Amino acid sequence: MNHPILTAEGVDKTYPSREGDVSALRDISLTITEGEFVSLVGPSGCGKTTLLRILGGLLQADRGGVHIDGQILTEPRRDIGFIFQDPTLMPWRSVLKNVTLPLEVQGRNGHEHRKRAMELLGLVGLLGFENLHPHELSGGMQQRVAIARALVHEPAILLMDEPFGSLDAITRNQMNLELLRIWNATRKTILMVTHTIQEAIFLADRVLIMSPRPGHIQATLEVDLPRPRDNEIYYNEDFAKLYHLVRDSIAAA
Amino acid sequence: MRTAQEMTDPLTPVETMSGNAGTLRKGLSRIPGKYHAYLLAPPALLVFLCLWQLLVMLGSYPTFILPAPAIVFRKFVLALTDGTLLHHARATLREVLLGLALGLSAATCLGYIFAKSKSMERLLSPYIVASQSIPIVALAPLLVIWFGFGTLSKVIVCALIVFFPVLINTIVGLRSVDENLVDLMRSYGATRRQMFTMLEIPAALPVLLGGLKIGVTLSVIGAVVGEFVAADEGLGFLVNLSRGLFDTPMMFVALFALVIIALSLYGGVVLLENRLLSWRRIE
Repeated sequence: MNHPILTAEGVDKTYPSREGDVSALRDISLTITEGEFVSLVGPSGCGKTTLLRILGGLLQADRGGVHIDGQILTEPRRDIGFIFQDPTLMPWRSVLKNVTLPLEVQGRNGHEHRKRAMELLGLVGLLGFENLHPHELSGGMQQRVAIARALVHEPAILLMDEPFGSLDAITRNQMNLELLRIWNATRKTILMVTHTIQEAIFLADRVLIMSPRPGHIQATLEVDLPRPRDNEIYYNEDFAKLYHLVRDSIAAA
Repeated sequence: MRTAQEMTDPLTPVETMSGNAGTLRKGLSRIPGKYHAYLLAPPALLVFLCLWQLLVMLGSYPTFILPAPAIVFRKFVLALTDGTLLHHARATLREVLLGLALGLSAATCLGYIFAKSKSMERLLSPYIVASQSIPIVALAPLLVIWFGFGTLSKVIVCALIVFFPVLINTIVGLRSVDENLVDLMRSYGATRRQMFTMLEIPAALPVLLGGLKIGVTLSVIGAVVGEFVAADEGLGFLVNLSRGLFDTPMMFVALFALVIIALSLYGGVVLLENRLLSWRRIE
């Protein structure tokens, strides 16, 4: 189980700007093992999204490299699923057709795939909504569609970029619980970017803390809280300790 | 935004009319509420005709200045039965449809290239803007010299006038595609062709259809401008001919025929829009 599935070594990224080059990421190295849930926290503008895009092959690093399962990453791979801050659904497609989109692009159309999509809609609690269009759903429901879509082509790794950042606190808490349940059921490897410390600890096995620009990994924190977790864990003493550790670590960065 | 919870009760009755007699109400209830406004169109037309008749009677204008509606109608029936109207309308319609086809295909192809390549846009857009700054009325005689007195010159005038708004809307539509959706499609390993058919076309479609609406109305103007310069058939030619003969009722008939063509084309685009963008309607 402790097989490293995603590794990055010495990743640098610089953006050109009007005031000269801006270094976004500096010497980022990390290893994520199969089935692990890792959170990445840091202040806004520390390059979290840039890092995620590099790890997913959407953006090339200036230096250093990313390996998935021992293979160097040069372009997006089908075994990586993305979830963005916005649901990023196609408004002209029904809920079901949004979920089957990855399969359609990969030329896998058919009855069993429709069945698979329906199963996933059941998993995210949206059975009965499959024929509606995204604009007929609430924000939280739209994000659930995005989660179902990210799982449909069975990627080994899920990269999530502040997936619940635009939701209200109550919905967000619900979605966190849902995500844990889904992760339990599917055991995907998940790397999730967030700027909420509580969320990062609540979900993850490990929290990576990023420093502000140029971003690099400031500290790594093991979260040894028991699973399965529920809302009670927020009142746990160890949770409070971890919370303070992460906060101090961000402040020191 | 309506949430799905509200959607579970789609049978909410829509009350739009009130205070009518029971029978009328019963009849209206068979027509969906959103079409009730269209029911006002025939009475509105009737009011317009009455005002027109009143104007003719009060001003006692001679027929060659302002013919009464009845005279125009009689002329209309006459032109329709002897085939004059259909002959000229067919000629104009042919020019309009061919011009639309030419203008639309040129504008969408070039629009796609411009939307994808800033340098191509920078290189070519000065010429396109320049061509648009010349009034089409001034350009039409030249086009007739180049392309002859027949259908071709009118088709080209028509295509030129349709071209620009459709071009601009194509560029705007294609550039408005959500960057995150592009990333998403890339992450699935989508080919260029899939990117085009599954993302770019449907995403740009609302703006493209907006351009088409402007295009079809302009196309009728284009055909008439072409016919005014030199022609031996078409509704524009009919207007010109009747002016020379002081046959003002016939001018009215030709103008109304042009309006009908433009309205039908516009209505066609609206139907197309309702069909293609049906996902935008909340039933």
